[in-house]
Amino acid sequence: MIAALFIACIVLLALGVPVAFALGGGTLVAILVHGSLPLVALPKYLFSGIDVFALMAVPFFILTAELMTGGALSAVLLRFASQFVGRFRGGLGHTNILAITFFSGISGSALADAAGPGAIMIRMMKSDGYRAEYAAALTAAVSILGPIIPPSISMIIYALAYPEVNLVGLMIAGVVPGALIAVAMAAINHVISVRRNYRGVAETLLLADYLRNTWRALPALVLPVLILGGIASGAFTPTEASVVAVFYALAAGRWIYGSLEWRMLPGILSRSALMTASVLIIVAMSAAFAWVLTISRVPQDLTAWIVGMNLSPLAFLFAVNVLLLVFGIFIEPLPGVVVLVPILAPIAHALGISDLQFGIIVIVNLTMGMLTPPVGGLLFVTSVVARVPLTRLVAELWPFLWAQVAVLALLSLVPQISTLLPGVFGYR
Amino acid sequence: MLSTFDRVLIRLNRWAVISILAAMAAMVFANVALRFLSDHSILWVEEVSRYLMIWLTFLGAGLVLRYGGHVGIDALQDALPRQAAWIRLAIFVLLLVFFATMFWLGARYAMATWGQTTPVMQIPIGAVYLAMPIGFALMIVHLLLMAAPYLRHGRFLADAEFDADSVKL
Repeated sequence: MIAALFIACIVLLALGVPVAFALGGGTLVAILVHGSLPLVALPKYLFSGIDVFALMAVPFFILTAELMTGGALSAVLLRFASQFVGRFRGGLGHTNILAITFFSGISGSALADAAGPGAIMIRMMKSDGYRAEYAAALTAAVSILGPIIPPSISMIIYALAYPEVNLVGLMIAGVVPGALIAVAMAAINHVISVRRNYRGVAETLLLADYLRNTWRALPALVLPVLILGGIASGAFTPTEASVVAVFYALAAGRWIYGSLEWRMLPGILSRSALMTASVLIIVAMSAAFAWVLTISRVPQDLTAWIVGMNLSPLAFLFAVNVLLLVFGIFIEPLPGVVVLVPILAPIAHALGISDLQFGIIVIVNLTMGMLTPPVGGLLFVTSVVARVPLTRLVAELWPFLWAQVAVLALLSLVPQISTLLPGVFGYR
Repeated sequence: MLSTFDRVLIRLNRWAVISILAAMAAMVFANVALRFLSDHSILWVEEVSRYLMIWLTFLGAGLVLRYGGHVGIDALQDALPRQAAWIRLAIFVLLLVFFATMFWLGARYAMATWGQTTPVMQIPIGAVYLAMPIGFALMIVHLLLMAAPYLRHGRFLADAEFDADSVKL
């Protein structure tokens, strides 16, 4: 039965059937091949997979990012970031990195980062003399912070696929690795800016300018503090924080920044609703898929087998990283999480690897898959905005990708990068 | 381009998902606010909002299909441009069979569970599970309506509100 499941899924996926229906179709075939399993299990697990209150943070965080994407807000964040790093060499590039890092504290997905502040930054960098393909590559590379810095759609789904891990702990665990990636991207930007003589922004700022920029940005900066602080302190559950963020974003966009108009709401809501449906239909189908895996004892047998090989945790992490990088070339992060995490996370746990560290490695690695063609979602978005062909964009991407691989290696070697901060809040 | 029936369907479908998401956000927010202000919360909100999320998923999936917004791997079609139309036909037929099967399974499941009621609201659980057959019926209708442009040219519905990539995550 398990062979039927995998063969059917792989054939359907390779043919180009959407991931959700390939998982569902494969499950259906597996049940039919087995013969004595009840077909009713399929609708049963389809529902139980999404009948989860914690999942409601997914639509709400999507909605928050959509509400905050409006022009005025991104501009305010950019000016705020620019006053700190704008004057350095490659200043606009650094501004881009910092602004997207802030925005990642509001948005839970990489594409929201690239399509929101990322798109505006690409245009600004282009008109300031940066190569268009460089601006696009930098923006795509930094946008992976969206699901790494909390909030994070991927982490919500991860905690659902592997309930042993605490969602709040996982979100806190993303902060330091996210900052580390931002610093690595800034280092690459510095080196390339020196080589190509990308200058800083030449403007003299008075103290009054700093104060005004900060004052203007304050309402937007409250949001990441509200989300992360609210979740970490235990004042809000992630779901509560997400819905508070929705209404805060609505109020800030409408009354503080004035960039949000009521007539824009139906479009924002329908876009968010459809993104939600495309995510949750995958989650629903994967619940049935995971049920077939579990009754076939695949995770249990695989865990016993790998633990029996006496693999060192580091060797296992190395193998997982290679597997995920290859997997990420073909598969988007979300299907990767729902299919691979129920299998891999218990093995990591049995080998004594911290659940939080492993979760961060998986999410960073799979999100990097959005930078590798053919299914590099981030590349499509940024290449369209910058109007550059994909091949030229990819040529500029390599230094950033290698830097991210280096961070990934560091995250694998040093568990404390991921576990120290959540440990402070009592999450193991 | 689109028939009147199609335009009305898309419009109704769009407003259905908009109202569901708006209702979910409003009721969950009201509950959080209430908890902070008065230490009470409305018991049925958690249950109803979960069921609305289920309906949103199944009612939205058909519209996502129209926009080409479901995540998938198009590498094979790109690699074999001359066979692409046949590959799309295969995908189309497989989806149709799968949707029809799921419609049938969902309808049976909703009928079988109609006698049970939900814990708080005491409505038939089958009414919640009706989302699945209705959703898959809607997916079949959307699939048939998109057949011609999709099978011939691999084209999806285009709209200023979305492009397919922005709907993915």
